[in-house]
Amino acid sequence: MANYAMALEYQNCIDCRACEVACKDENGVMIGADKQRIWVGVVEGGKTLADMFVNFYPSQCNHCVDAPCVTVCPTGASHFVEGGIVKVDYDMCIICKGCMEACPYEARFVDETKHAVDKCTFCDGRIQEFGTTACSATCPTKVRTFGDIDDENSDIRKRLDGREFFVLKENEDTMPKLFYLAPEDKELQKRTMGEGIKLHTWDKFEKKYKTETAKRREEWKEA
Amino acid sequence: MERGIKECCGLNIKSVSFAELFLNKTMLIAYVLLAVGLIGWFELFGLRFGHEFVNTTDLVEAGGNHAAVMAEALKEQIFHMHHIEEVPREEPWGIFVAQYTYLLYGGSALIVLVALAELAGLHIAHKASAALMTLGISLALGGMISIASDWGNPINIYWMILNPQPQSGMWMMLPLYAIYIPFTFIEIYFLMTNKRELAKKLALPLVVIGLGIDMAEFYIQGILFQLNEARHLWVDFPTLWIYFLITGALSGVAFAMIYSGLALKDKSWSAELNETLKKAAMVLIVLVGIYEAVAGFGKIGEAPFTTMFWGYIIVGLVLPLGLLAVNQNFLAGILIAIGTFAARELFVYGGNAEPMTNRFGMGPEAFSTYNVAELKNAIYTAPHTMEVMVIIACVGVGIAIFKLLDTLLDVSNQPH
Repeated sequence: MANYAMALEYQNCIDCRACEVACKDENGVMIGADKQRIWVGVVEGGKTLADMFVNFYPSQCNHCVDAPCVTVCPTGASHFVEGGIVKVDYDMCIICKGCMEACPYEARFVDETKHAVDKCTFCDGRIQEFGTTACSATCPTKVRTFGDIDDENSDIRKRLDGREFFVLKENEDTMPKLFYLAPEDKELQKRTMGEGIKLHTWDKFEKKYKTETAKRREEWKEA
Repeated sequence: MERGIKECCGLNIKSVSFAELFLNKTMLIAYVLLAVGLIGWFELFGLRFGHEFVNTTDLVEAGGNHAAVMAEALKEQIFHMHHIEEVPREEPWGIFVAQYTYLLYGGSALIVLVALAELAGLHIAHKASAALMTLGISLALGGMISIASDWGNPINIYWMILNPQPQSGMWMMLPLYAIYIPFTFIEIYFLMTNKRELAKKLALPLVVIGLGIDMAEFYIQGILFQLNEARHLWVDFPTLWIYFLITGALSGVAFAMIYSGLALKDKSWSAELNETLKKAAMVLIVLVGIYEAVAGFGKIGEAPFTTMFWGYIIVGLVLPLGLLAVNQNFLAGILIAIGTFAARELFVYGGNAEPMTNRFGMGPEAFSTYNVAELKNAIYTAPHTMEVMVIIACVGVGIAIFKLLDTLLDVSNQPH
């Protein structure tokens, strides 16, 4: 069974938001909605003209291995499906918003058109047919690489091999599955990433990742 | 047996007319509060179920039909008009949850205090237990109306039975309240029943079991908030359930003082009750004060919640302490009730304030190190008018339930 994840070469992002448009079209996101399903974060830094920088970092649901939103859901509406994708069953959601409170990434929102809480689903209907998500297929600068993290020959594994990456809010211990690829230039890395970010490589990260995945893998339901 | 009283299952039930039951002064006050709430509920359900929200598929399917409705919906959404946004992403829980925690913890903790007074064999407990326990459970039920209003789709609640999730603090509320509410009514029944021998035999076990259930409730409520790991104000808060218990008890005593001042002042045991409530309130104010000073919300004193925090401290703790010292119980009760509501607002909105820092690639730091200059989502968003109207009605629900029980069972005249 596949185990889906995403690597993000965020340095390539030009903030064109084609990913957001593709997502809205693919998933029927409410028109005019801001920061629903996916979004592009913007962080500016530097104090002088010489060291100013801007980081665009596309983000979405991290489909955490140990997803707190699934744990807190009182009805089981939030659940894992094949591939470790976190989904919401709209017919079971009571909109208690507990999952929104539990999510460290503010990835969830109330979709008024569905009358339920919703979030990114890694385009789980689409990936069966096209093998990737709408946002990654659309991106003109190839920021996102989607695939099966357990498959050594997958694009995502090839992308991660030999590269340093970090995950957002690692201290929450949710084991998120969006891997942000750090700049290869050490000077740029130091200047634009700030202090305190833990960098990993896949060969060292894999063991912990697999251990955590095994703990909740039995909860994965058929899509 | 008095005329106009019928006995049923060991309870004396007053035979009253429709007008006596539903058209007395207290019920009219409750109706006014409920009427305010009806406007709020009407708006709330209109927004949830009667409003047009559209996505691209809807637009394509509508074609040229419903053009005006679609255009209005598009305009609202594209310009992101806030009146259509019931649930702000940054603050998923709002004043409904604040009111739920306020009335439910206040009511439950009042029941705890009465049970403790019974256990300690306080003389006044024999006079006022039934009335105060009924007040506690009535207000707790009012709080439940608030949380039911908060849930956008409560009709799906049956999934909590069909698909149990015991790891979820919120799911745990279901079996808990399924036991808690009937059990509290059983406790009240045995305080009032004519079957005195049976009541005496069961009194101690009932009180002890009742206390156990009450403590379990506060413990599970603590877990419910502490499961939200990203919300550091809730997670890092030490022994949250004790905080809920002592602040809830303070609210509960305030409710009792207001009730005593309004409805029990002519009783022969009124002075004794007021003295007991005064002592309880003073002890609780000191306990809450110590908690806040040592481990509590004082840590967010510099954040945008400063006004609410100090408002709660001054109105809910400092001023009432002074008023209690000069035996102004009723006024102190009102101030504590207002102050502790501010504390609940502070707790919910302060807890929502995550991520308080959104530095690139970083996790949220412990709340003691939050950088005030970087606060983004921590700005207080005032609740919508319709929400305020609904929480006013929740108090009306509590008052109405209490008055109905009092009219039928005469709980305020039940010495045992």
